[in-house]
Amino acid sequence: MLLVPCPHCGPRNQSDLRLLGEAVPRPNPNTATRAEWGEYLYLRDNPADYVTETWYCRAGCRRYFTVERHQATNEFRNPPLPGDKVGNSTYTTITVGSSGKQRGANEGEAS
Amino acid sequence: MTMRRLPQQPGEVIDRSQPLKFTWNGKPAVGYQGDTIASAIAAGDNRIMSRSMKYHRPRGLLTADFWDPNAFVQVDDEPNVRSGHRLLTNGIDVGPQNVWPSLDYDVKAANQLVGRFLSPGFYYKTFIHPQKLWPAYEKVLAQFAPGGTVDYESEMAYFDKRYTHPDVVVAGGGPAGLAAATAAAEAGASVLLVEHEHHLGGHLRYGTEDDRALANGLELAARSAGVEILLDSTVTGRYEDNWLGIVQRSHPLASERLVKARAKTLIVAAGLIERPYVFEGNDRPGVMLASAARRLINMYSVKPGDRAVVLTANESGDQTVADLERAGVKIAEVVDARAGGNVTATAGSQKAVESVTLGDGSTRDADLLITAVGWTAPTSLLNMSGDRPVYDPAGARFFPDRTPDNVLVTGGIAGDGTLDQIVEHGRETGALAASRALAVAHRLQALTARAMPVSDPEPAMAPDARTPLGRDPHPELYRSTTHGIVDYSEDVGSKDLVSATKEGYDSVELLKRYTTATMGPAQGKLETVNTVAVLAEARGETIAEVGTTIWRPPYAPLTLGALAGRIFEPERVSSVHSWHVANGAKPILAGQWIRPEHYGNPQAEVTNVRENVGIIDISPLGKLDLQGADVPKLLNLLYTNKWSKLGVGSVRYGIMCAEDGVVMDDGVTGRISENRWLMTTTSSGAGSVWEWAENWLQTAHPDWDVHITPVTTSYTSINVAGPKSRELLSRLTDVPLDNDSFDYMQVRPGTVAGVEDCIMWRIGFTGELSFELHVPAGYGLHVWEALMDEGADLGIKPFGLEAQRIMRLEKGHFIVGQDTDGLTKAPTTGLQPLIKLDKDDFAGKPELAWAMGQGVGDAADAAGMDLPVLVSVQMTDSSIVPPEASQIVRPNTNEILGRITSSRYSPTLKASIGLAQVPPSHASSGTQLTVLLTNGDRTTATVQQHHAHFDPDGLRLRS
Repeated sequence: MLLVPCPHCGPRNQSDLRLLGEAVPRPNPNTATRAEWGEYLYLRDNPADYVTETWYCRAGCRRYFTVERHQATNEFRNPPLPGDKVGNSTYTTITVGSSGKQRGANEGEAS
Repeated sequence: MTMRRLPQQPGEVIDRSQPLKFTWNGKPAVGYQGDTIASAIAAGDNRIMSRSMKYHRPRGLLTADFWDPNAFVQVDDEPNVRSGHRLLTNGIDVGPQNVWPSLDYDVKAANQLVGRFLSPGFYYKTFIHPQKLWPAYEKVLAQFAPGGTVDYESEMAYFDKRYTHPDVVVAGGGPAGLAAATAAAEAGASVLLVEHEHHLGGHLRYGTEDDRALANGLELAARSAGVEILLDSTVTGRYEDNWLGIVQRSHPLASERLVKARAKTLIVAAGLIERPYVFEGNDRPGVMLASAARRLINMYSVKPGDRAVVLTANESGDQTVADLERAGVKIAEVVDARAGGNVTATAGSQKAVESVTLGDGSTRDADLLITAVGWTAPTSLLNMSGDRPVYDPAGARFFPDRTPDNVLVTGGIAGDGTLDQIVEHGRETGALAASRALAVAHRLQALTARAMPVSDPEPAMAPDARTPLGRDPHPELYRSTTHGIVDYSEDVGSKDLVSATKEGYDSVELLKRYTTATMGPAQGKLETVNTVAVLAEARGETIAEVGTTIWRPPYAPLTLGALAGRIFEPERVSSVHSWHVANGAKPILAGQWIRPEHYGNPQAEVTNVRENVGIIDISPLGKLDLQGADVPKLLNLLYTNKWSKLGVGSVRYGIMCAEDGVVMDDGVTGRISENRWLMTTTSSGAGSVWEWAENWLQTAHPDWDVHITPVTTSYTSINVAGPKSRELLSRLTDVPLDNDSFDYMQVRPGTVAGVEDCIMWRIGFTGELSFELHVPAGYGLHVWEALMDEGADLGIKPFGLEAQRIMRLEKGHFIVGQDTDGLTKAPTTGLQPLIKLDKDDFAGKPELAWAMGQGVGDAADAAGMDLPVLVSVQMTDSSIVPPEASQIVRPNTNEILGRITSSRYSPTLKASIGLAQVPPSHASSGTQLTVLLTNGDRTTATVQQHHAHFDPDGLRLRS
C-alpha cells in the first residue's frame, strides 16, 4: 500500500485517500466535439513516467490535491503546500460519484 | 509410551515437570509442555504421521518443523494443522489425514498402484469427456479430496488486527536477525522482530552448547535493547513502501492476529531452509533431513531411529553424526557427498526404511537415512521487494541481487561465514537500517507540508558499507541417479516433471501450473529448487538459465479468519432506533444503516397512509447544509435544471449527472433563508454527493463563496404522510399549514412539539399530502413519540421502508441505482423538462445534449434516440409479481429487450405494478411486453400512459 504525501495530513496510507486519476483539462462543454469529450472522459496516455494525479484525502483533511507520481516506480514529487490552489479552472476530474458507482437495491432510497 | 524419549538433553525445550495427555489416532498418548504435536507423536514411537494427498502413501517426519509436508493432522475440529510446528496442549484429539479407513491400512493407497495413470494432467485429460458425465465423476473424485475434515458446527473464534509503525522490522530471529535488531535499537530505532518459530536463535537452538550460549546472549541483548519481539509470527508479505503483513499466531486472546506494519526499513533475515534430496524411495518413513534429526534430538529429546545412514555435504550434516551418536543411534555409514559419495535408494516396507543403497551399489541395513545436501534461500520477501535472486552454482543456491534502499538482507540468505562474521554482518545491517530509517522518515516528511526548514539538511541515504558475507563452496545435489518425490505436499515426482517437460510444459511457470509442483502447503520452500533442477536437467541447461518462479505473498499461510479479522465498519442507527426495536420493527440493513423494513404488515401500512396518516423514519436521507453567496452557481453546476431563481421558502427537485451524462443522484434542495440551503440526497449518495460537490468547489471553482457541511446525522428526519397529516402536524406546531401559507414544494423553519429549529417541507414521495420534518437529532425520539401520541385518534401508524417502496412505485418515482444503472443517462428517466441545455454549464452537459439530439457535431453523432426508456408497467395477471431484474423479451424468442427494474403488488390498486427499462420501440402507452420469469414461464405486461399508476395528476399531494 502506497504512502501518499497529503499536504495537510502528512504521509498517509493509500486507503485513506481516493485516487481520481490523472488530472486532465476539462474541455469547454459548449464547444467540445464528441471525440474531445470522449478523450476527457476515458482516454489517458498511461506513460511509464510522472503524471499529475488528483487525490482526495477522504479520511483526513477532505481536501483534493494534485501531485506527480511516477507510474512505474510509484515515486511522488512536487506535492502542493497547504493553501495552494488545487489545479485551476482548467483541471478537474470526473470519476467521483460517476457511473462506476454500484449500489444495492436497498441503498438507493430516495425521498 | 515414551519409548523414544531420551534422557534430559542439554538444550531441550520441553518441561518434564509438565506432562500433557492427548490422543493420537484414537489412542491415549503423552507429551510434555514445549513439545510440538509431531515431537510428542514421534516420542511415542510412531513413524507414520499421515498419508500423502494423491497416492495415500504413508509418510513420516521429513523436516519436523512448520514446513513439514508429511505432518498435517486433524486437531479436534481443526483440519490441516502443521504438527511439526503447533505446540502440544493438554487434552487435544489428534488424528492423521488422508487415511481411509485407517492410518495403517488405507484403501485409497491403491492409487499408487495405478500411479502411472495419475500422471500430471490426468484429471484434465481423463474426465473432460464426455462432459455430461462430469457430475458423476465429481461425486467420486470429491471423496478423494485431500486434507482434514471441516466441522461446520465449530464455535466462532476471535481474530484481531493491529496497526503499527516501527522504524525497523526484522524478519527472522536467528543470530543475524537478533544482532541486527539489537544494533538498530541501540542506534535509537524502534524495532519489531518477527520470529517464525517459538524460540529465538534459529538453527543455534538445535546446535551445540556454544551455539545455544550464543543464542541466549543475543536474545538477552535484543531484549535489553528494547526490541519488541513477536514469536510464532511470520512476515507474510511485503508491499509498496514497506507495508508489511504479519500474522501473529501467538496472541494470548486472538486465534490469530494480523499485524499491519509500516516499516521505514525492513531487514530480511529469514535464514536458510534445508532442502530434501530426490532419489528412489525418498518419501519412505525414516528418510529425514539433518535439521529434522537435530531438532528432534536436541530440542525435544526424541531418538529419531536406531541405525542410521547419513548423507552429508556440509558441516551441519557432519554435526548431525555427533548428535545421533549421543542419542544412541548406531551409525551404519556416513556418506560424504563432498568426496563423491551418494545415496540412490531406500528399500523396505511402505511404512519403514529397512536398507539404504549407496552410490557404489552396496547396501546398508538402516531404519533412518539422514540427508544434508544443501539449502534453499527463502527469498520470498526479496521477490516481493522487486529483487530477482541469482543462482550461483558454486554455492548451490540463489543469492539476492538488488533490493531497494529500504530493504536490507543479512544472515544465511545473504551469504556464508563463521558465526562471528554472521553476527557482525547482522550488527552492521541493523545500524545501516536505523540510519536509513531516519533518511526515509526525513524524505517522507520533506514530501509533505511539514517539511523541514530549508537550513536543516536532509540526511542522505547512507551507502552500504557493510563487509559482505562470503560464499562457501557447496556441491550441487538435487537429484540422485534415480527418480523420487520432488513435491511431497502434492505427490509430484521427478519422473512426472520430466514427462511434463516432454509434453511441452518446459518453462518453469508452465511446469509448475501443469504438475502443481510447488503449489502445495509448503509453497515451494522445500521443492522449488529441486523442481527447477529437474527441469534444467531435462532441458539440458543450467539452473541459472532455467530461472525460477517468483515467490508471492503470503510467505506462510494464514487463516481466512485472520484476513477477515475485526471489521471496523460501523453500523448506524437513527435516534428513533430504540422505539423501532421496542415496537416490533423488522430490521433491514441498508448500506451502513439499520432501518425498519416494516412493523408487521407493510400492505396495511400503505393503506393506512392512503387513508389516515403514517410516519416513517427517514433519517439516513443524505443532508447537506449549503451556505454562501455562490450556492446557486453550485446548484446550477451539479443539477441538470435551473436554480438561480429559487426563492426563500421554496424547494425544488433535481437530478445530478456525472460528466458522462449518467444519473448519479437525485433529491430536493430548499432555500431556508437568504444565504442558507438544505440539500437532500439519496441515503447512499450522502457521502459521494458531498465529495462530488467539494471536487467542483476545490478544483474548478475555488473562488466561489460556498461552504458545505454534511448534516445527515445532525437531523432526525421524519416523513408525516397521509390525508390527515396536516391535522396531526397542526396540533404540534404554530407554523400555518394551509395551502395558502405553506404550499406544495415549500419549506418552513419552525418549532415542532416544542423543539426549535426544525425544518419542514412539503413534498410527496409517497404521493400523499405529506410534511417532511428535519428535527435536531437530540430531540428526534421526542418528536416521533409526540406525533404517535397526538395522532392516536387520527389512526396514526408507523410505516417502514417496504411500505414506502410500494407507495413510491404506485407513484412511479424511480430510485437511482435501482431503476437506473451505470449506463442510464438522464433522458431515460423521462425527465427531459428538467434538463436545461440553455444553461451555460453543468456536469454532463455535452453528453445530455447529444442524448437529446442537440449536441455539437454531425448528425450521426447527435442520434440519441436509441436510449432505453423508463416506463411504468402493469402485469396482465395481478397475481404475478415478477422478481426485480426479470428480463423483458420478444414474445417467441429469448432476445432481451429490457428488464423490470422495480415490481410490487399494489394494495391500493389491487394490481401488480412495476417500472421497466425498455427500448423506445416498446415505450408507448398500451404496448404489450413479454416478461420472462425465473422459472422459464412467460407473462405479459402493459406499458402505462403515465409513470404514476396512482393519482397521476398529483391532486392528493397538493390537497
